[in-house]
Amino acid sequence: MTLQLPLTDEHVMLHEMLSRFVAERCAIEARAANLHANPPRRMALWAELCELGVPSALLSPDAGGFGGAPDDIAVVQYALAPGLLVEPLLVSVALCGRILHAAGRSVDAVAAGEAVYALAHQEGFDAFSLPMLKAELQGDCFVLDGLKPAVRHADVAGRLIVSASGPDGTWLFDVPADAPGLTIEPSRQVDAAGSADLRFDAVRVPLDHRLDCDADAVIEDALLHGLVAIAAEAASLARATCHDTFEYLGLREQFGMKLAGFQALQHKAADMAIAAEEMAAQAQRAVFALDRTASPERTRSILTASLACDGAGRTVGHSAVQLFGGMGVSDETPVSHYARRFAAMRAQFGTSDARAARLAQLEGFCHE
Amino acid sequence: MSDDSIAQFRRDVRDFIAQSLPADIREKVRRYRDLDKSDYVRWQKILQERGWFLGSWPKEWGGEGWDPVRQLAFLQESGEAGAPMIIPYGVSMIGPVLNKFGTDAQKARHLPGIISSDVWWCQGYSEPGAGSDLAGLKTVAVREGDHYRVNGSKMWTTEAHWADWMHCLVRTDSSGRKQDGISFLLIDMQTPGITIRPIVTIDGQHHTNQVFFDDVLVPAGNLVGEEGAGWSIAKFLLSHERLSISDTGPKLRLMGRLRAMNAQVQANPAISAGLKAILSRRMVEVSVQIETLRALEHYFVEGWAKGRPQGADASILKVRGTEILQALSELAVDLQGPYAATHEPRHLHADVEHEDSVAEMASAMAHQYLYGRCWSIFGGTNEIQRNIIAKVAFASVG
Repeated sequence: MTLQLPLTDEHVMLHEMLSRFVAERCAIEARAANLHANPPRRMALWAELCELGVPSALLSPDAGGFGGAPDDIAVVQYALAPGLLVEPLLVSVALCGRILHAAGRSVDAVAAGEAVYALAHQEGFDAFSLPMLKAELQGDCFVLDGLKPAVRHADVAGRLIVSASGPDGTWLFDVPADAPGLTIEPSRQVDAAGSADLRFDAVRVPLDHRLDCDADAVIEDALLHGLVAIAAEAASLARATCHDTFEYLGLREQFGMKLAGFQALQHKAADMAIAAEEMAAQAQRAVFALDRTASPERTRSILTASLACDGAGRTVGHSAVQLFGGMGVSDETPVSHYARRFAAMRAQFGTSDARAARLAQLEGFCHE
Repeated sequence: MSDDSIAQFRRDVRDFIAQSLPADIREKVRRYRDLDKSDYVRWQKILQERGWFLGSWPKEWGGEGWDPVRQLAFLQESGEAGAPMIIPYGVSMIGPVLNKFGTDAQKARHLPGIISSDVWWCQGYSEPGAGSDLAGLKTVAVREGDHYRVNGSKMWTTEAHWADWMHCLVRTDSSGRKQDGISFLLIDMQTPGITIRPIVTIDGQHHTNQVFFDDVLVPAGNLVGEEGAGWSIAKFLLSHERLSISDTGPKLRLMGRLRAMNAQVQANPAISAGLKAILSRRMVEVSVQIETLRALEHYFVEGWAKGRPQGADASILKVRGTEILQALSELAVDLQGPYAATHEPRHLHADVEHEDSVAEMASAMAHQYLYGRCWSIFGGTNEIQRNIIAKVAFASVG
């Protein structure tokens, strides 16, 4: 079922529960009603997801959850993928919760869904490069100055994990979204999730808001968790996209025959099927890699899997839209949303090109 | 099988090749030279002595009964370490067919030569008028007493000029469904009436041939299975090929070569930063592709062991394996810079006493590139494979 991972009974039950949730609560019309509302209701399903205990599945037992391991994250992501959720489960719970726990902070409020976090880290193309946002110690507080552009979920987050360049390296802060001097300009992502530009203009942060951890390592680990989570989601979404598309080709008739009978379309479909299998294989590999201790080899495996999913996801998404013809570009057709989600995934945790450049360095393909 | 035992097996294969692969063969493979028949035979005999030549055969046939995980490990390790491939026509094709469908007499006659690699087999399937549509084959075998009289022609018969025997699909009946009139014959290549015409391919080499049958008399005892069973036997035979088809080992080796060539480019101060960035990006692309192929292979093999239906998995491996090899070989040529169009077919047979010249290395990569065009054509074209993949995909939702 799920990436051929060795699943526990609990995993299987979790997967079934979440698949049911997607089937019952994530219909395309209901999603449109929430997201086309003014303002969009981007947290519409949050309370239900928290009641179902999904955050606990994304947090480790010592952080108060019952999951949090790579395979737990993969199961959740895989099951929820076809639901195209815009709620910040992955970022707020799996990633920010992880960072907070690494810094010895309580994640109870995150697990309960009461505290919603966005990860304000990436500034340029490359999420793995060091932040430029400036942090200085001034008397009894830190002062933050700089810009975090298009931060996913920052429109709905009450709190932010902010990375900054301090005098002795990277620092991480836990900052309330209503801190004086912080301007939030909401924007929208291609998959209908919310985001915002965060401008820090001499934002004063109390000393205890700085997270006590090896910031660079913690950030990298969070990013790798994010990439693996997205790989699992992409593999699942590819499967769903293929299913919808192949079914459609067997139903629609033109020139007196089913679309499935045309060889040009068969070959496009075959490439989709191949891409979907490649994504599953790479997602599985990434899940196993994430479980290992940090090393260049682990990062290399995950970046490779991520790049494979970026390319294959684009193939699957675009081919589906093309094969649906006019219906493929309709907002009413799920594959048009699947394609948009694939487009968003390429751009999460750095652009796909930036990951390629990072991989080129790790592989020694270029000298820098 | 545990991960530990498979890791140990991989080490065993690497160690064995390090110790047992003859130096001259190792050197030829390292330099992408063409191997001679005797090189293949020598290596296959060494593998047989070690007990690995029949690794994928079940124990009741005298093999090792390797499961797909172990077969894959062997293929990858030996390919990456530069061991010659095992020539499939005997041990992987006709051997299993005879074990499964052969008479006792046929087994006694042919299996020893297959196992010892003393008898070289070729495969007579394609014809001038029957390529992708193999069932349309027209080479006829007419029963006359104790013999079949065979007339017609086979095409793309690889190494027929080295072969002692051919396993051959012939038409024994033209009345009904075309698949039902096909039979499976074993033909001694010394039989009068057989002529072999060499075909030089796009890489400037002679690997393949057209074989003509002109009133060739084949003993009726050389029929395998019943008359008309040839098509199902051929399908059984091809199912034994599913793992070797993506063949990642040699691709990983070529990837290693690309790394070394790219490193030279990147270290060359005369080459612009822009060009270096483009080549580095292309390296990333092929690296991701080959790692994905490797992941896919493991994913399928592991899945099969857990009962995953095979569906179109073999076709997927064929398509991706061949296309990735082509992508690697295209970059291999482009990395030759001023020698990117150099191709001297004789270089493929040059001796290995001196280190290769730049032109010889370029010729080797040009050969990979040119011969690489064959991969997406033989063994069922990639278009036929995509037909199969789509058929299975559509059935999965229907």
